[in-house]
This record gives sequence, C-alpha cells and structure tokens, in this order.
Amino acid sequence: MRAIALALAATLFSASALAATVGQKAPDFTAVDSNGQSHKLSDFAGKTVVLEWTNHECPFVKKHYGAGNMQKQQAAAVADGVVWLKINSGAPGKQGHVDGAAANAVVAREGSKATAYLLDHSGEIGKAYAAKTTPHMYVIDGAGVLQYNGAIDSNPSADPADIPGATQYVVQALAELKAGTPVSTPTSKPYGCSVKYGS
Amino acid sequence: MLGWLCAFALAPASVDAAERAVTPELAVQLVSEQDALQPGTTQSLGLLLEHTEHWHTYWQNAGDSGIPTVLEWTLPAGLSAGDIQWPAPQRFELAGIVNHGFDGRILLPIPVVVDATLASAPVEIAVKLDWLVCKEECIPGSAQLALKLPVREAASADPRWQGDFAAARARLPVAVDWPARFTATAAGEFQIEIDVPAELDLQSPWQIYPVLGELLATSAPSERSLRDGLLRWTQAQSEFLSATPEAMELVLTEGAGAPSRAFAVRAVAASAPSAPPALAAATSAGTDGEALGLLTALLFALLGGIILNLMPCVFPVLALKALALRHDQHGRRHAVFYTAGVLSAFLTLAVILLALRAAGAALGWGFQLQEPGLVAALAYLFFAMGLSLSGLYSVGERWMGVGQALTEGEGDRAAFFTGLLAAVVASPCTAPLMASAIGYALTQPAWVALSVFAALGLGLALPFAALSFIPALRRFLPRPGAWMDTFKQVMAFPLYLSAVWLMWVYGEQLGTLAMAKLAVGAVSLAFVLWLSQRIATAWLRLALLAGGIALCAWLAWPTASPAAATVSASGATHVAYDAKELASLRREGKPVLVNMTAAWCITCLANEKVALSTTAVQDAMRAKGVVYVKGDWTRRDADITRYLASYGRSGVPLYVLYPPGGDAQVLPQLLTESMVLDALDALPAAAP
Repeated sequence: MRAIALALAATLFSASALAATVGQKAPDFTAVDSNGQSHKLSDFAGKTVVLEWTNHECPFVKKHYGAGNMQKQQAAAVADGVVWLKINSGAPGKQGHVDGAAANAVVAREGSKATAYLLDHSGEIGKAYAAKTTPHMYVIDGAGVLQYNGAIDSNPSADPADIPGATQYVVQALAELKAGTPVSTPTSKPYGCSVKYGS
Repeated sequence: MLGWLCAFALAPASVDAAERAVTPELAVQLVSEQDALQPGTTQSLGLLLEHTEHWHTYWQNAGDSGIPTVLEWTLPAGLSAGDIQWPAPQRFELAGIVNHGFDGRILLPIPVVVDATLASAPVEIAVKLDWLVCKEECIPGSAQLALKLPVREAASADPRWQGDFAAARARLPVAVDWPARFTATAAGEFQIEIDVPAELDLQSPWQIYPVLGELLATSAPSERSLRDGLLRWTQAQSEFLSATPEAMELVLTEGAGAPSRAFAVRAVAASAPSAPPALAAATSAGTDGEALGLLTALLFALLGGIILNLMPCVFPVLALKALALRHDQHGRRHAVFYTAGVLSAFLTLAVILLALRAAGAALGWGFQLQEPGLVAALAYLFFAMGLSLSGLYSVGERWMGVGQALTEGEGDRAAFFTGLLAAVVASPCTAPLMASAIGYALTQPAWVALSVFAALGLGLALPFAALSFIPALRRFLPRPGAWMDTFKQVMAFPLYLSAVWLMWVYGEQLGTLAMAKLAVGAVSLAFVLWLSQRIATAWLRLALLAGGIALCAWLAWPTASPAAATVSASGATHVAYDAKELASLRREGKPVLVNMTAAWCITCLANEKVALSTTAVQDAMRAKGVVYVKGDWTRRDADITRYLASYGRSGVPLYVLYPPGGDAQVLPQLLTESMVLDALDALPAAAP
C-alpha cells in the first residue's frame, strides 16, 4: 500500500530546476524576444547556444560593442550555425531595461548579429543561470550541457584598449567544442555591471 | 567610430596630472603621510577616495560584480611602491547581487620604499588609476595623478592627512595566527572554522570575506555560528572555482556597515570534514573528524530508533507482540526475520527518497507526510488498529485486517512482516522528531545516509530482538492473564490519539471540509468492520470490507485544492514566506525573522509555543520592528525546499534572523525564549 502510494507519488513529483553548473544540463527556459516571438532553449537541441546577458547602458557592454568585439563574435558564431541569444534581465525602471521596440533600436544601433534578443523582465532566466554581470556569457553544447560560464574575456576592465591583449573565452570555447576537444577554460569570474534585477 | 569610442566610457577626469581629480561620483587624491620623502625609510602614500553619497568603489575581491581600483605607478629611480594595503571592506547588496567595497571617505594606504641614495632634489610621483564606481548603475573612471614631494633628511607628518591615515590603519585587518581550516562539503560548500581566542568577544554581526573572488559564492546565504571559541562559516563554493586551494586568505570583520574591527586569517585545507552542523551539539565534546561525526550520527540514530518503540504509534503494537513472545520457541530465528523486516522498510524508504532527490525532486525527510493521501491512509490504519484493540472487531488475536495473514502465526514470514509493519507505523513518528537529524544524513553521500537509516531501523528492532535473543530477559515479562485484555484495551487510546493527530495534519493540508470527510471515512470504516463481524459468509464479508475500503479511499481522495491553511492558527502575526518578499524586505533594511515550519513537525510547534509566540518575544519583535515571516512546509513547497537547501538543510525547523543590512544568523533548532530574546536584543533599535 505504502510502496504503491510512494511509487505513485514518484511519478507525480516534478523535478525542480537547479542552478546552471558547467558539465550539467543547462536550465531550460522559454522567453519572448524583441519581436514577440517565443523561443525555448530545448528547441535548439543539436545546436550550440551562446547566452549573453546584456544592458546597453552598462560601460562594460559598451566596451565590447563600441570596439566591435561582441558583434564580430556573434557574426562568426552565427555563420557557424551557433544560436546566439542576447538576454536582458533588467527590471522595469532599472538602467538598461528595454521593451521590444527599444531592444530592436539597440540591436540596430549596435549592429548586433545575435540570433534573438530575449526579454527577461522578471529576471527568472537570469536567476536560473545566476547571471551576475553584464556581460555574463554562457555556452551550451548541442546536448544541452553547459560548457562555459563566465566572463567575455580575460581582462576585467572597461577600457576597449584592453580587448586585443585578452583571451576571448567564448571564441575559444566555441572553437574547442567544434573541434571536439574539452573546453580549456570552462569557468571564469564574470566582470561588468551588476544585472539590474527587480528583486 | 573613434569619436564614439572616446565619448562613451571614461569619466571626464582631468587629463593633466594633478594631485586631485573630481567626477560627480568620486573625488580621488594622491597624498603623502609625511611632508617629505626621507631616504632610507619606508613611508606611506595614500589614495584618498571621497564617494558621493550612495556611490561605492570596490575592495580587492569585489564580489559578484564590480572591479577593484587599480594603480599603475610612474616613479623616479630610488622609489618603489608596494601593493595597496586594503582596509577591511563592507557589504553592498542590491537585488540579490552582493559586492564588497567602500563608500564615504576612505584612504587606501600604499607603502613606498625610499632608497637611501635618493638625491635631495624634489621628485614627482605619478600614478594612473582606474576605478569603477557604482550606485545602481556603474561608471568606470580613470585619472592621472601626480604629487611633488621634497626629499629631506627629516620628515614630519602632514597634518592634513593624519586623520585619514589613522582611520585607514584602524580598518586594516590585523594579521593573526589563529588556527583556521576549511573543508569542501558534499553539498558544494566550503565550511570554514576558526579557533578564535576566548577573550575576543566578537560582536554580531560579523562577516568573512575571502581575499580571492573565486572561492565563495558571494551572494549565497551563509550559515554561521560562534560558540565556545569556535567560529564556523559555511557558504556555497563559487561557481567560478577551478580547484580547491591549499589555503584561503580571509578577512574577518565585526560590525554592520564600516567594520569596527578586522582580522586577517589564513585557513588551510583540512583533510576531513568536521562535525556536521546538525550534530554539532552532540559532537562538541569530542574532536572533529569524519569518522567520529558519522559514528555519532549512527549512535544517535540507533538511540532514536530505540526511543521510537515508546512512541504512541508503535508501542501498542510491539508491546502486545512482546507479550506473545513468552511462549515462542523460535525466538532467535524470528528476531532475525523481524529485524530484516524493519531494515527493509527503512532502507526502501531511504532509497526511494534518495532516488527522488537525485532525480531533482525538491524533497526532504518528512516528505511522506507531505502527501495527504498517505496521511489519510495512516490515519485509517491507526484508527482500525485502535478499534481492534478496543474489541470492536476481533479476528482471533488478529489486530489488523489487511496484514493478518502475513503477520500472524509462527512463521518466519510473519516475523518479517511484523517488522515491516512496525517500521511503517513508526514512520509518521520519525518525521516530527527526527526530521532535522535525518535531514543532515541526506546531505551526506548516499552510503552515509543509508547507514544512518539502517541504524535507525536497527534501533527500532533492538528491544524486540533483544527479548527474542535473550530468553532470560523474557522472564521479566509479566505472566499472561486476564489483565492482558485490559492492557490491550488501554493501548487502543494512544492509537486513537495518533489517528487524531494525523487527521489534524490532513486538515492543515486540505482544510476542514476534507478533514470532515476523512472523519466520516473513519466512522464508515468502524461501521464496516463492526458489520463484517456479523456476517458469516466469507465472500460476503470480503466484499463488504472491499467496499468499505473503497468508500474510505473515495472519502479521503484529496479533491480539494490545497487550502491556504497555515500552520499557526494561534499567536503571532506573520507574513507567509515568499522569496521575493523576503528579498525586498531585506533591501528595505527591515530586520526579518524567518521561521520554516510544518504542522507535522512537533519540534517546530514546541518552539513556537515556548519561544516564538510568547508575549516577551512578540513584544521584542514589535519593539525592533522585526517582520515575522513564516514558511509552511506542511505540504510540498519547492520554494521552501530551496530555501532550506540554501542553508544546507533538508528538513524543518529552520530559524533565520536577518539583521538590517547584515548577514543572516541561523538560530538553533531547539529554541528557548531567552535565546530568541538575546538574538533580538542584538538588533539595532527600530527606525522611528
């Protein structure tokens, strides 16, 4: 009786999502982009996915867009079949918060080459990934496993002059994934402005 | 393009080298402690930071985001500058992001070695500095500062900066050699232990900052305790940790906001994890170490199991079985089977729980009582057992319809199933009393958890097994006689009480209507059992029983949506737990007391009665403006399970006090009124 009830209960319990950990399944999510279209992470199974937390008013984001570094990485990745998702977890009223139209304006101004710009006003996706800074980068492989979690590059500064001398971690991780070798730097401490969560 | 580049980033600090640079958020100035450079000495330069209100810059470990201030020197020959001597930082928290840094006016001292051969002509010291200053938004800044200083055989303190240097030095962590160690726990945390001197008298709130950023998850809650000179700090490891270091440089601070005292401590990696927090009280007398921690846990589980025999759910069943032992010829053999039955039940339950947790379900011990269907089934079972003892129905000496064929008789099978049943009826009693101890076990590797469960089962089986194995003991059993009938009838009442308790839990879960239905089900059960005694035809009786059970199941079927019933019908006013609400309360700087509880948790209810709901405590909470937040885990609640897990717990009770702006303080699982009052006393007075 008890065993049956437990077995029954086992099928009813839903698994709760755990925070993003390299080497484990990346938390799935569904989000609406700047054009009102819905995207589900698991729908991209088979493809490598890059997540980029952004806030166009943050000087560190400006550093990489102003110097063209981010767009260059996006264009190369997308050309290679990678799905690149920009995500904004800024809550309404906070710096860098955008609605769909504003997001599209930012994309046009920046010349962003990302696949889509996802709006996460509630911060739910940001919290699921424990995204801390803008930029904060994640790379998820075709099997849905998180392969990189950390900074955009190895030089924590706001000065664009520091970009050429830095190791670009996402570029490196994508190349290694493509070559089928383990990601040599799977984590680094992200740097930038804090993600402007609502709570 | 280039114009755009220049326009965006750097704060408009002066390009010409000057002593001082000013932006709307921050003024920076290069100063010297002495009015001249004195050859052959080491003296101090300082970087004076004056933050506009609400703005801050960062410590060497900036925390979740932010970047420490960086200096690049241009020095004449004969001078060499050292690293910044970082004053102890303070915490800044915003929407779940935690940073370490400085606000207001603060000086960062920098030692400079003046060569004995330095010529006497005045020298210019230049520094380029880069900073990040943040309120909610962040603005990077950069400046070139320069300072001209004469070189003289004798120098005296420059009175303009004496106060700033003194304040900075008072805030420098004092290097101490207190023994300190850390271990990586199985739950992905670092547990840091520091043996602090008894005379230290460290005042709450205190805080630990690792010098390196990639060690601790800055924004993860910390569990802390300071008792008998042992300071303990447990916090999740940083997700950016690449390898466990051999040692950690730590800064221990005292006081909210700008620290009043600070110490620099070096903790080394300990080889084995020390006693788990849940059992700290039990092991504090001994030395630390995994083996002992486990051994103690096993011992306590065994003891707990023995005590279970006396619980109202179990005692009536086992007492009657024990009396029957007097004439058992196969005692030892049956004891082995009985023990096997108990162990199988406990281990099966543990394996199921571990498997569910591994699959990601947010469960803790006591989970079985979070399922209303099971609570109802157990309530019926206890009620039916009670009715049997009361003599409403009797099938020979049988006391339970379903289990009769299995548990009665002389066979090994009967002994095994008696054990199984004992464990099943004991299980609701383990949840309220042992949830926290078993909660600890579940945070350990699977084999440890299973050993603890096995020890618990062994403890439950022990008294009965001992009676079976040692015939001499049986002589102490009273002689059978007419009194046994009376005893049996008396034993029915604890079972009724157990049933009432379970019905109440069920009512807490689903509301009074559902509870009433369950009660109707219980009456129907009694009626059917009574009626079945009056029917001679076997198949008809069976059909009746089957129909009765179906009716009971239908009545107890949880149709009602979970009622918004809360644990506390009485006493203290509180708000229901909500992660967002808690975060926003803390952001507003309100002190908060979180109480995680459940209706089936006796410890929780006792704590509320004796410590939390008393007039004195309620008055103290009002006086300090404490918001009382209650989380009800009577039913499954993934949010609360996550909250518990963030404190390394997998069961209730959990009491956490958040001082305004300070760090969470976990209160013990057994509360006394004075303990709570002391903790509340330490809070600052309520804002007017």
